[in-house]
Order: sequence, then structure tokens, then C-alpha cells
Amino acid sequence: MTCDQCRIIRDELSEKLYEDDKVIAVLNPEPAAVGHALVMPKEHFPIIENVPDSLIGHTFAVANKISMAIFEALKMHGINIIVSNGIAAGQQSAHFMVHIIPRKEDDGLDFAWQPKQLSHEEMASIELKLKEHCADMMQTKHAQAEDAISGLKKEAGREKEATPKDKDAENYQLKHLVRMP
Amino acid sequence: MPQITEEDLKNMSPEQIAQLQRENCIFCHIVKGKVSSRKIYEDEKIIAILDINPANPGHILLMPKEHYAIMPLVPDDIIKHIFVAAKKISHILLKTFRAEGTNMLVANGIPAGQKAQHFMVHIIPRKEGDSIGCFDIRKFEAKEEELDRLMKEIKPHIGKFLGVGKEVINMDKKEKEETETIAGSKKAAEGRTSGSKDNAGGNIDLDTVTTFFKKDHYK
Repeated sequence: MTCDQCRIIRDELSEKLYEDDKVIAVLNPEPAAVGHALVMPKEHFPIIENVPDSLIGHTFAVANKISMAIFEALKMHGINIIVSNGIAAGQQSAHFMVHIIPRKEDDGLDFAWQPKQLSHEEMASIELKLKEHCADMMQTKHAQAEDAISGLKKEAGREKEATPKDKDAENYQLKHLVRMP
Repeated sequence: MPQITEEDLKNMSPEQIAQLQRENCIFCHIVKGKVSSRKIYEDEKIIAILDINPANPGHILLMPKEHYAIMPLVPDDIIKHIFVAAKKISHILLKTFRAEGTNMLVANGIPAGQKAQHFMVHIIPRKEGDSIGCFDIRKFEAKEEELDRLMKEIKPHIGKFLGVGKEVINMDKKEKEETETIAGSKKAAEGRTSGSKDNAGGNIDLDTVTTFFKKDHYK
């Protein structure tokens, strides 16, 4: 297994902030701020698209609670929760994770962007395009059924170890965010 | 809307304050349709609109219809619902704009960059070389002792919100630990009852909310 995160998950000696049967939370050894934590599923998923819906829910619910704990423990002033999906978005490792970055006033961090000015027409065309796709995609019932199926497939005994071939596929996914044929 | 002073706020019940927040929240107005927006998705619990000050074209704000100032106040079922939707919207952005990645961002509190008092998830389509540098999370090397110290500080609080150890719910263990701590504290301070222990449900109180928004005031 070449994934650093999977190695951390398996390493029973390294201390975790939190662990259950599906997810773990650890302190980031390379933090952006004091108390920077990572919440990730134990199973290896390169990008959020790969993660089943039920696990997404669990991961973020845990991330929310961890953020409260850190907020309280370290007497922080705020919390950022960030997911980077794909290399273009700044994702650094091929294991889906949620960053919890505790914030204080004047801590030198800034997750603010320069707003882009778009014309009325541009916005309208974006709205139209997205609405179309949303109507197709957001049928939750359908997605839940899919989830159930994928869950069953997994139980049927898929190899958890990433083979070198899988690794290539992952990098491909990270880079292009699409599934391998 | 009459001017509300600090004094008024002190005398208000939490329900009244919540009501006041709702009345003053631009996104609650958007949810109700009192303020126009470019809605791209809506169901009974959540709504997704286009950000009018986008980081990139297609920047989406996804939020619960109910008013929650910050993420810790949001119930788990809404959290689950909203992030499953976020995953789908992320996928839609990739398809629609041929984006090469997406960022999801939640800001809790003004120091974290929160601008409106309505919890929301920003979903931003990304392309290589789009010169949005703010999500390149800086990295420092943390010292081993520093991490150990933080672990010790944070861990007791995790138990409060999430239960202790590997099992989320392990009542036997919890009770045992509780009696142990109580036994310990009894020696120090007699007559403390077990009822005063932290409620394991991890409900966040209004104090926390006010710390998140300590600089803010209602006008």
C-alpha cells in the first residue's frame, strides 16, 4: 500500500484524535495552523466522487463534532472546513479527507478569494446550464439505490489493497476527476 | 425595524434572539424568495444558489433552509443531507464546466472569513492555473512534542462530543469512566453530584455561538 493516509490509518501506534469503524481523525503532521486536523474514511477513496453517500454523511458529521471539540479545547475564534478535490483544487494526497483548520484573529491565514465580475448574461447562462444538470443528478432515491448496490459489491470481497495499476488509476482520477473506463 | 441595543439583547430569550437573527438574515430572505437569487437546486431541506461574487464561474452556495448561524448548530441529519448534495453538485460542476477540481469551504466565525450568519457550504469549480491561490493550504512541520501536547488538550473534549475511544457508544465504559472521574473529584470536592457532568449529547450552547460572532452586533 503506497498511500500515506492508509499507512497512518493502519498504524496502531500513532495516536488518533478519534476513531470508529468507518472514519478516523488525526492531527495533521504538516499543519496550516495549530490544531489542524484531518478526518478521513478508513477505506481508501481518492476523491469525494468515489465515496458512498452514507459515508459522506458520517464523515462530515464527525468532522463537525471534531471541529467543536477543537474549538472548545484550544479556545479558537473560528473554524474552516475545507475539502480539496483534485490536483487543480490543491489536493495533495490521493485519499479523500476533510481539513479542519482552527482559526484565530490575525493568524495570517486567508481563505478569501478575489471575486470575479460576471455579466448578467454570463450568470444567466451558468444558471441555466447548472439547473439542467441538477435536475438529472439530484434524484436522491436513485443515488441511494446505487449506493446500496456498491455497498453490496464491496461486501462481496473487493481487494482493499491498491495494486500498482489502481495507483495509476487514482492518479488519473485525481488529475482528471473521472472514472477509469 | 426598531434599533436594538445591547441591553435589549441581554433581556431577550434565546428564541427571541433566534427569531431576530432570522429576520435579519439575507439568506433566510433568499430562501423565502423575498430576495431574488439564481436558484439551481432546491428540496425540502436545502437550497443551492449561485454566488453573486464568485471565485470562479459556477461558484455555488449550498445551505439549509432553516437558519443556523454556524455548522456546530446544524443537526446531523441536515449535515448529512447537505454534504451528500455537495458531492453531487461538485460532480455537476465538473461535468458542466469541464472543471479539473472543486473546493468545498465552510467558514465558521468571522476570523474564519464567515460573512453572513447563515451556515453555508461554498462549492467552487477549479481549473489548473485559475490563479485562486487561497486554497493552497500552507504546510509547516509540526514538532512531535507540540502534536502530543495538542492531542492531550483536544482529546478530552472529543469524548464529550463523540463518545470515547473506538466505539462511539459504549455506555458501560462511559459509566465506568464517569464513576472513576467522579470518585477522583469527590476526594477533592465533597458532595458534587454526577448530574452536573457534561451532557454527552454534545449540544453546543448559545455561549459558543456568541464566541463565534463575538465581534458582531445586531442592528
